[in-house]
Amino acid sequence: MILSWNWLNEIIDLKKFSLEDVCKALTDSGLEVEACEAKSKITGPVIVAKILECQKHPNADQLKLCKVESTHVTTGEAQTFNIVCGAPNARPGIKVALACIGAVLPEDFKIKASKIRGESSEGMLCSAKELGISAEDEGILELQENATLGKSIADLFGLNDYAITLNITPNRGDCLSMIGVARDLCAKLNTHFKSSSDPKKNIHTTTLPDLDKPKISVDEQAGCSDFYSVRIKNIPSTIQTPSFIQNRLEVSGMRSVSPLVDISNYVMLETGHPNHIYDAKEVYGSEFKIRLAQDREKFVLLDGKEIELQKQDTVICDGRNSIVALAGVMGGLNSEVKEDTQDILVEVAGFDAVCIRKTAKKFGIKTESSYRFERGVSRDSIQNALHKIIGYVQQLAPECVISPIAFFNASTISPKTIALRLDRLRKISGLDLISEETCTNILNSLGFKKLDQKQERSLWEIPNFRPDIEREIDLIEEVTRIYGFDKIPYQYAPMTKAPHPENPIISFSENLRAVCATLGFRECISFPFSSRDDLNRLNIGEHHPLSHQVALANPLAESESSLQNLLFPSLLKALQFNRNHGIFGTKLFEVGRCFLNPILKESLTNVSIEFQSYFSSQARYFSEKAHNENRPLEKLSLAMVIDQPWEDKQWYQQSPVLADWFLIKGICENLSHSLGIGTLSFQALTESTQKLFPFLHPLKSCLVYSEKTWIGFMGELHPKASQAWDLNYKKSVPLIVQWDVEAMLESRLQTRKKEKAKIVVEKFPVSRRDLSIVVSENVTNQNILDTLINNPSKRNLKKVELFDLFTGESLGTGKKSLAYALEFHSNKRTLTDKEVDLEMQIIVETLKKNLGAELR
Amino acid sequence: MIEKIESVKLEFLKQSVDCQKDLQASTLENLRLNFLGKKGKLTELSELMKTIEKEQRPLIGKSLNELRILIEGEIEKLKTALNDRELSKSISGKALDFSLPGKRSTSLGSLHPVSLVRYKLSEIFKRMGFTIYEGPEVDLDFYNFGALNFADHHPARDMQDTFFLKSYPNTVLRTHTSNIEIHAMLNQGVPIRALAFGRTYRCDSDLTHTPMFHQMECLVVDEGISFAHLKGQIQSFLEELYGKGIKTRFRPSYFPFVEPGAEVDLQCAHCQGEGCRICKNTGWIEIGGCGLTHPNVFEAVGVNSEIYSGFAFGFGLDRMAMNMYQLPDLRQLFSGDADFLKLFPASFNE
Repeated sequence: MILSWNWLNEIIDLKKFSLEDVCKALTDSGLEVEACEAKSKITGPVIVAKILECQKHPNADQLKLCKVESTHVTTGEAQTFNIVCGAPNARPGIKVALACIGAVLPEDFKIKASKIRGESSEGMLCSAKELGISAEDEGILELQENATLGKSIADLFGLNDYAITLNITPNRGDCLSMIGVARDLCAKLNTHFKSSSDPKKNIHTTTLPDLDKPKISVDEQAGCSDFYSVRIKNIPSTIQTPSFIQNRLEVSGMRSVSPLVDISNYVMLETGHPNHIYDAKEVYGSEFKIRLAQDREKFVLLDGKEIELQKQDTVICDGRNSIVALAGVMGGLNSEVKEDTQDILVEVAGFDAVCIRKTAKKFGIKTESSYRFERGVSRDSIQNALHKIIGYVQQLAPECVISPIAFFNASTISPKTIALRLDRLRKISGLDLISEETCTNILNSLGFKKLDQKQERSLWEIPNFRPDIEREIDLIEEVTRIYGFDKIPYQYAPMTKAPHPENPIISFSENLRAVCATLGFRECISFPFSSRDDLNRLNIGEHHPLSHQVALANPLAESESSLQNLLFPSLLKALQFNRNHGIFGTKLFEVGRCFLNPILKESLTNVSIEFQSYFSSQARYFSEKAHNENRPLEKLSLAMVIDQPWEDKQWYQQSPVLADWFLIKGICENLSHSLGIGTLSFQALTESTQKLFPFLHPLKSCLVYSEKTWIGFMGELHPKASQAWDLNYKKSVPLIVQWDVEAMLESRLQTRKKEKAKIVVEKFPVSRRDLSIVVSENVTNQNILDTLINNPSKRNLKKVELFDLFTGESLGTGKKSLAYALEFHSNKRTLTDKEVDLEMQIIVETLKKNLGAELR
Repeated sequence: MIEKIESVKLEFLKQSVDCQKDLQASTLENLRLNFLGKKGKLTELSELMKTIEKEQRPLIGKSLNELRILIEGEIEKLKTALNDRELSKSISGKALDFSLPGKRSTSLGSLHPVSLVRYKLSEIFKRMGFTIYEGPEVDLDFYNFGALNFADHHPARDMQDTFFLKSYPNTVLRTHTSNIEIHAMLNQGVPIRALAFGRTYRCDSDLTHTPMFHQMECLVVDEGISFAHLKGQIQSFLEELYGKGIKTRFRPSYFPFVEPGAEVDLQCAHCQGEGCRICKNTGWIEIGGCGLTHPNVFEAVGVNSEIYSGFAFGFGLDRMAMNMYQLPDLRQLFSGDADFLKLFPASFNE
């Protein structure tokens, strides 16, 4: 909504207030001023002057030399000017508009000192057109006798205006009008409306009209509460829009179209009530039928667009049942007012807000009319708006013939009443001392009517134009916003109860972030959107369970058409971004959610446990009720990516260091140690799990478990995927990790229980032995560790660390050699060499027996 | 015997002087073995003691002992001298080039500015007795709109451009963190002092809007909560965040789930409210919405609105991060640009 400052001044008394005061008052009362812009048509000295003498120009028949008198704008001293003028009506004695040197007229017309055919001219006498007052350009503008010399023409005609742009919130449909805004402003500034005459009285019906009133019939289901119409004929096609209407429409951001359309718009801006003017010729029988459309019925709108209607849309038809308007939204091309229209039908009506909104939304149309109806238009303003339109038309066309007013009203609804308790208002607002009188004054000035008062409880009638006022709290709001939020004190709410416990996932995930950052990773936050294309580049085929992404109904772009069901790909995009900017070796992490189709989980019966875990109900912190409520599961995940190279070449190291699986394993072990997660185990991909994780390198990636809980996956990106994402570095590929944060937390909570049982500080010395063995290639490190830990000796072995791994021809084919540092320790006493030797013997025998290991 | 002792002493003194001239670890060790070793001269002398008569033993024993002390002391001195010489050798030469880059086994990473601000805020609010909550990012219309007093087909719904899902009717990407208010009240009941953070979504994308952004949400419900408490809570946490002396302004506004509702403005720190480019000459910077919880919201979650009242506010976390770190471009936050990310610390406790 854009206000004209001049117009506002015409409606209410703002003599005591500056433009700034008013803008502040508007913002402070909830009608936020977004912009306030000067709308000057003319600048510089354009003033009232009087022609003293007029002589013929010696060198031109059409021109005159005028001596013009005025007073200086600031000093008030009398001044005379010599002006060359060509207007036929220029004559001594008339008061005129003089544009002095330095003035700028509309369309950037700059007034300079000039010589016209040898005679100098110190300015210009202006026509109404040149001043932008009206289209009149027959001669210069003649001012009234009593116009004060030296007075600014801009002030005299209200040519210099300010456009105040308001951001009206959707609850305040009433403030989409000059009158509505003025009402709030009166309450806030404690000023009043200027007394304006009843628009009805301005209409002169001297003779009884010999014109039939329009016929109206309204279908009950059509969502039409009121319909008023009048017919006006004998409007000459020569009429022109009055300049004040033209100027104000322009300031309000509307284009002047034609006199009748301008009047319609002007009255809508003034009263807030949308209306429509039809060419009566095109409305058969001057008859309006308001009904619901038939399915697939077609209609061409004013703007030339053809739409196909449905049963829910309300339409207005003529006597032949053909549509002339889409009710409350837009008129039709067929019945539009044209240049030669002399006979019109005026419609001012009330329509159901929800019906209008549905129709406007469906067709993607937002008009001044639909915008207002959606926000609620008061039935009280109908007659006022209609009379104003009639009045303005009659002003332009005094000879026009006006029919009696035809109308339809659905049953009247008695106005809402709401009780207001003063103590409640004081308690809720924090305004302990606000008086009954202040409240009453504020509500009165906003148009509320006090019906009753019992002690501190008052009963209020809510005016029709405030459908947003529904209960006591709304009245409290009205009082406090007008009284001023700035008058409310600052207080601190006391704590009356111990705080609720916090979900452990919250501090766990913050801790996780801090640990990742300490381990060298940079935290990313990315949009969780994905697309089929991303899946293709991850080798995820059409039949893969992950291909069923949660799709958006209204995505912003094809590449963002779904919600991600894997977290690490968005980090691959970030790697690409950095690569494109010449940055290699980026290490990123993100803690974010994956969105999974719950429906899918049920169709996963024939895939592995690992994959079911991915969709499992572990996602309970944010998706507890997801299944019952039929919405996607949300799984909080951690993703890490490592671009190659891990480290560039350095002054102390000649070639770049590449990241490999063991490096990332080390990082992950540090991570789980920092977070207190139990011991991790790493399981190679099997033939079936390879298919489920097609984006992982089949041999250099693994699944991660803590005890028996599935934690996630980690390893090298599949070379094909790496190629598709264009992330190869020489022959190596990025490494990726994606873990389930909720499973990590679960494991942490399990581990914490065990930790409490055994916190022992070692006090006795440690005995160390080295063990070097040769085993078959198939034996894993874990096999050996398990054998060592479970050896049948007295179990003083407390720590085993691999320090050498060797394969070579000297060992024979299919063999490898491993060397371990073993630590023995008892927390009861110092172990003797004999004891340790004995235990070593048992260990060697067990290794030999179980794994065929030989001492080297 | 005394003579023998005397001659060993002289021999030692001579040899020790020689040894000192060209001090070597090997010659020093030889010297030690020669006199103190198992077959050394002092051991020889000691063995001779058996042959000495009883009366003479104390006297001879004494001088033998004196000799031992002398030899041991002298050898210790030489050892120290040798050690000192070796040490001084190792610290000769030029100083290091301290300008060479340090060797780092792992360089530190960094935390996202939004995380840093979130952590800071949660520290402040936890101290004030708040509990932190989270909630679904994809939620039912009921939690995101319905329970928050957004009537069906009300134009208030246009205030937030909403993402809808294809196969889930009545499900939206949450447009604000206010859905957490509903979940928290339903799960935890009242009184409540809740703070929530989270990602939120609106289908809007331009220079100053991203389709995903972050909000913080605060909800306090108890008996006798007033607008004055709302003002106090906001003022006090902003003072903790930005320092004492900041000024706030509360402008009436409209959000369906609060009444009265207000927008909160912070006086522009750049111009101290004089008006500048940053605050678009208004002197104020809009930071979020707030208000008293609407009774309709209480009724939707089964809380008696005659007994309880409450306040809520929701601020944009991204903008707060931008304020705190003087960041010029919102979109930078979500680009994953390593050059940008590396500007931030790896620890929450800056």
